[in-house]
Amino acid sequence: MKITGEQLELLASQYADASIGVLDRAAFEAQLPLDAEARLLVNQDVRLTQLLRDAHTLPAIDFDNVAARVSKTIASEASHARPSMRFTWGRRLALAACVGIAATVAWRAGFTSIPTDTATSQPPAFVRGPEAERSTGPTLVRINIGPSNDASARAGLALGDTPGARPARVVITAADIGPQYLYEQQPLR
Amino acid sequence: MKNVPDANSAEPVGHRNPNAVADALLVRQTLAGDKSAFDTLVVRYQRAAVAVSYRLLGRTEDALEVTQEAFLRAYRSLDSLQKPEAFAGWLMRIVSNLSLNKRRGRRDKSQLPLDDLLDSGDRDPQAGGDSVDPVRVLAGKELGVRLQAALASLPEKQRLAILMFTIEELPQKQVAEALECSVEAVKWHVFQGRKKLKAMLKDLTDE
Repeated sequence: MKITGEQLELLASQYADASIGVLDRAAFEAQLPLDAEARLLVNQDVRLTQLLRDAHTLPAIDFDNVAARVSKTIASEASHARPSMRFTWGRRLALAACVGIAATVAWRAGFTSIPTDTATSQPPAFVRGPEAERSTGPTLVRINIGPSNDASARAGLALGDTPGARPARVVITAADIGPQYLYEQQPLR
Repeated sequence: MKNVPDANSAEPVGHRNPNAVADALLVRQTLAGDKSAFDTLVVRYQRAAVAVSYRLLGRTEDALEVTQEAFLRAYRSLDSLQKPEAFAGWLMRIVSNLSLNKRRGRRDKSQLPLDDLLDSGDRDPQAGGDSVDPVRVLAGKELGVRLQAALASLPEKQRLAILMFTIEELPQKQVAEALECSVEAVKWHVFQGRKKLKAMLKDLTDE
């Protein structure tokens, strides 16, 4: 097995703290006698582990006393209720605070909300949209579509002979009643 | 070393928590109303809890206070633990969170308190620290201060991974549960942390 760089560092580190996989371990151990760099890395890692463990020794602690204290504290908890059923003063206070906040919000909302009974109350505002402009001129407009009477006469066409001789359409608009379409037969001259 | 690989296993022993099954049973018994089952969990994990907290806070009193609070919180919210077999990792998460919060609350966040570190009094007899040579004691204190400072400079996850796995020798799975990450991520955090520590303490590791 030929490995280099960071991979070798990783294997050396895992070998030193015994977290290397069994297969990797066998391969790495086979390489160790042949690879001075790997041996150096392992030595550094072993030394680092020793340093860390030696420098972090715990002070002398009476763990029987610690266990007794913890047990006593939990016993007083357990005397009130089981862990999943407990309702401590802290939780009671939190619940009371939540109820208080909800009541305050509801009370305040009662003063500021819009009444829902629209049949008896005044609407809050009137909004008027744009309106069509009313005409101030004459209420009747005549528009002729088609050949004029003179042109029809010059062509010598009789009423109904050709499309061009058909009577002109007249559109009459009135301000109050809207457009109406009438057909007026013009006398031929 | 506790993390000795099992020759017959496809993965190192350090991956597993041998107490996981028993922990699950104790958690269920506690939830069923048997308080003595929780006492067993306290006895089983109090040392690890104190050790992790102490190494994050550097002060015995604070570590004991955090440990008691952590067990109390664990007891209170035991019914929210979805995997009872993961109790140990869950507890360590509570311990590390409480410790880090306590540390953040301190005025000077950059420095660990050194009262315990510089106290040459009693040490854990398991560590065998019985030196009385004052020069050696002083050198040990200086070394301790330097190591603490180096550890404190690591990113939080790397520091916790090294504290729990390398120093406290907790199983990697338990560390992963405590850090809320995968076992592979724990390995990576440990590796990256060790790399930085080796660079900072090169004169010591090259000896």
